[in-house]
Amino acid sequence: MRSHLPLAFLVLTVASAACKEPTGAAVIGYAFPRDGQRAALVAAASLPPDTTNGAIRIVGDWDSGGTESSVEIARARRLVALPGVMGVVGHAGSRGTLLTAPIYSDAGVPLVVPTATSGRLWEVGGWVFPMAPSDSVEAAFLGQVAVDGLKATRIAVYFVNSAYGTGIRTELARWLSNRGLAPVDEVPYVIGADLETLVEASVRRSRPDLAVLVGRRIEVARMAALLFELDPSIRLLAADGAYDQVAELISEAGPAADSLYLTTFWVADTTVPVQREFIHRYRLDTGRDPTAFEAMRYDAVMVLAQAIREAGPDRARVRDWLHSLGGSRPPYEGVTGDISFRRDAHRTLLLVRLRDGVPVTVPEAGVW
Amino acid sequence: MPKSPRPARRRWRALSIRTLFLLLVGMVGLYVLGVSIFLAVRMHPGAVLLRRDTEPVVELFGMLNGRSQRLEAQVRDLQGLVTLGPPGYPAQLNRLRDQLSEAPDERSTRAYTAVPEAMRTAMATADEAIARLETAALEVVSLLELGRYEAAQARMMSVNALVGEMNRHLAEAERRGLSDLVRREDELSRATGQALRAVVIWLVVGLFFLPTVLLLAYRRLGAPLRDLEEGLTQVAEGDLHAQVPIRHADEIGRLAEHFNHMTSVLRERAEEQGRFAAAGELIAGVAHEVNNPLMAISAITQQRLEDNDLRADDRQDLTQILRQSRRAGKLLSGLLRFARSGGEPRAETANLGKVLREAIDLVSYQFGVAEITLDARIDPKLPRVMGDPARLEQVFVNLLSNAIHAVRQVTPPRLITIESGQDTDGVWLELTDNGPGIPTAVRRRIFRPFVTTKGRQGTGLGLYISRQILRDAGGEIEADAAPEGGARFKLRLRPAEDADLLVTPSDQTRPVLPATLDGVRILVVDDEAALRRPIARFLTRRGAVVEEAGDGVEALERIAATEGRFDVLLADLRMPRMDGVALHAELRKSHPVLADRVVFLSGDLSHLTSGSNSMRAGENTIPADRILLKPVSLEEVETRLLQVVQQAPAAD
Repeated sequence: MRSHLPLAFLVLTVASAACKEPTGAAVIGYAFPRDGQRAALVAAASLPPDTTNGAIRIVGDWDSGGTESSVEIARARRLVALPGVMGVVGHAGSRGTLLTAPIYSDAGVPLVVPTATSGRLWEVGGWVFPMAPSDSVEAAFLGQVAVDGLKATRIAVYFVNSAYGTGIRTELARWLSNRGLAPVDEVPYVIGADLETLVEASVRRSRPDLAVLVGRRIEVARMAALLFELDPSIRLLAADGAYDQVAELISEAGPAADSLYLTTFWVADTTVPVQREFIHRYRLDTGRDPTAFEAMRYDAVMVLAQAIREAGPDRARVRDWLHSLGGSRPPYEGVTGDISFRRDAHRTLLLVRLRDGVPVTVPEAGVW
Repeated sequence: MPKSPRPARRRWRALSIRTLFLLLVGMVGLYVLGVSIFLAVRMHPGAVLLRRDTEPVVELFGMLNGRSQRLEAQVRDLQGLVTLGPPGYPAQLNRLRDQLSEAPDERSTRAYTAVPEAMRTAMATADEAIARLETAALEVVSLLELGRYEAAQARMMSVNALVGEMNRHLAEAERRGLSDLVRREDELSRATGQALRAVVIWLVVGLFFLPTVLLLAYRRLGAPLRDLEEGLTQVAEGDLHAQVPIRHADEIGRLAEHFNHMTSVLRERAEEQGRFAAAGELIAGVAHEVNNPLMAISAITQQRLEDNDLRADDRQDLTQILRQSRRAGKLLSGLLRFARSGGEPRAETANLGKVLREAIDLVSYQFGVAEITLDARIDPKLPRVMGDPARLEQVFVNLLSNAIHAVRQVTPPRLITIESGQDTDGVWLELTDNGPGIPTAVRRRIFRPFVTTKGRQGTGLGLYISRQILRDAGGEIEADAAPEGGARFKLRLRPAEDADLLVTPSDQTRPVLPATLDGVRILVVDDEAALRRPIARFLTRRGAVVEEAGDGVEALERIAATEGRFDVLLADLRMPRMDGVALHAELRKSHPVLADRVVFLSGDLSHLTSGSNSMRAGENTIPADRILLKPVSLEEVETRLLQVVQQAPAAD
């Protein structure tokens, strides 16, 4: 990792804030495991000078890793207990967000959810603000790409057995059913499962022409590689969870990477002015482009910081400010697009293919 | 001996009974509502929390438990297939795979957001263990499908280990769930206990206040009502001095105030009536004493006027003496009649014009004094009306007195107008004055008892009694404002059924009389020689044979001496030794025929009581139609004596 002075300073700021109780500052809690803190650091660097001088601090939960239920709940408890906390950005997945949402609601702390897609997030109260498209929207997008775009007729679904995976699987099955279709196979798995056996048995018994892969990048890349090896003719379509760091994905998917269609909320594009500075900072820091997750988390932090700046250090007023986006107040202009927390607001979904290690948007997606 | 009135207690401003009643009902309502709300506030949140938190726990745990039990059965089946080894059973494998691939119940996702935080971690961990077991079992199924039996057997060991792990997590979730449930039940139980204790306190407080409320109600209602009841009992027993203490300025207080006012008015009225009665007796006595000299003056003057040798100026003086004595006599007659008008009403008819004139005569002296002009237009063709003349006269005197009082309050000209007439509804009479009139607020109540516009000068009973008299006679009275201001009273009277024309009884019954008293033997009995002698001389000049007696005893002696050879007796009713009534009684025994030929003369009937056709004094009665009331003209005496002589049977 290349080192830069400003970023080192920010790291110290955030790290020190996490180690000791901040005093007198409005705090944004950052509820992601250790490997997901990068966006917070970049966001902290992007905050105006007055906020970096202590008016707003971003406090990550450095002391715990993982996304197990117990870990997520403990993380949420620690964050809502922070003095001066005005809002929290997180959690990493739908399951962790659903499990911790009541903690934020009970404490009266706004929770901005950048990437979780479960539709249930809209039903857990007025303190939770989902940014990403819901699983029903994403399932419809996947179904449209598979059926209308890729003309698949034998669709197998490989999904992580969590709220995220089961949500997309259920909604996709419903969408297919509306089109008179049904998956030829549905294979749940957990992290650490014997994917080789599961995939091989599935391919042998169901002979799919398209596999929908729902899960994290690592598992999706592995399954893509296995599927490609078993039958190169099988088209591979991944849900949003897989579009993480592209280099690792290519490395893990091997030859299958070029055959992989990826769904994502965002693709780095320096031709878009609003993204340029953000992408530049990432490149300076990591030598790579930010991922969609990182961009969403960055926007979540920035919109919450904007809310605190405009509404003041009052959680109810911050909540109301967030609710007013896209209503009495124009949407927040983030790097991932216009942000509003209205349920009917437009949320971007893109289809991407990898060409020579570079993500290329499939423009036909959404038109099929 | 009347009880002395109790002093009215100091009044203090208080809530009205209605307000107090509403207040008491409101307090009781608030008390009940307060207890209910308290119970709801204390019990409801605990119960709601228990239900709200328990329902999703039970639902989620039920789903996890069901899923784990199904999974355990599937694992057992899977174990069987693994144990059997090749060639495998594709159908069973397909069924197992489908079961293991089934999506978890969607409700579980929602339920996680509702379960208490203490439970959420344990249940989510159990859920993750189930998912791991499902995946592991699915891996075994896949291995069997791929024909890798040895690998499947080896993987089965980890599956069994995951079953244990799943059950351990479920047991932990269950333990936490039970612990949480027990804790909430304890909280609810504590809240219930506290609420019950508080309710007991509420009830004790309520029981403490109940006697206070009852005492308050008794003091505000019971005691004043008891005072009123005692007061009414006193009045019923004839004690008009009864006074009720006014405890509060509320409805009962006002009732007590009215009661006290009524008893005081009744008391004043009774005292007034007593004075009237005494005055009546006095008037009767005075009238009797004055009547005799008046009649003597009148008789002597009348005799002197028959002297043809009188000088013109002497004749003029004597004529004036006769006129004034007759006027005085007429006034005395009116006073006596008015004093006698308080008895039981007699069902008879009255000459309205005559009654009205007599009433005017009684009050006429005030017209000159107060410069009042009376414009009375009495229709001479009015029929007789139903009613006791004396009581009707009382009505007119009352109305005239009120009118005089009213017009005195304004500057002259003061005018009282009386108009009368007859229409299809009967006889009407209107009495109008130009006084200040009756205030509108009082007019509606003017005929109620104790309502007066005269302040302490009036009893408030005159118009009330007048209306009662008129109603008893089938008539009615109304009051309104006169068109030119002042008051107007409209009276309506029922015509007598057999009286279409104004005809006096004397007109109907006047008999044909002999021209003179020639030869008629008359005994004049009167203790007043000044009256007896002029009458005797007048009757002698009219041709009668007249003897005189000073009282009843002497009259009996004369009758005995002459063996009762008198045609008729003229006897005063009031005489020493033996009065006229006693004389009549003796005659009924000794000379019954002569007893039917007695004409009585009297200036005062107050010692007699009225019968249907007679007057009673003790055991004795005399015919009422034989009484001549003094003062009476000598011509009237002559006429009456002639009537008796003509009607009576032949003398003994």
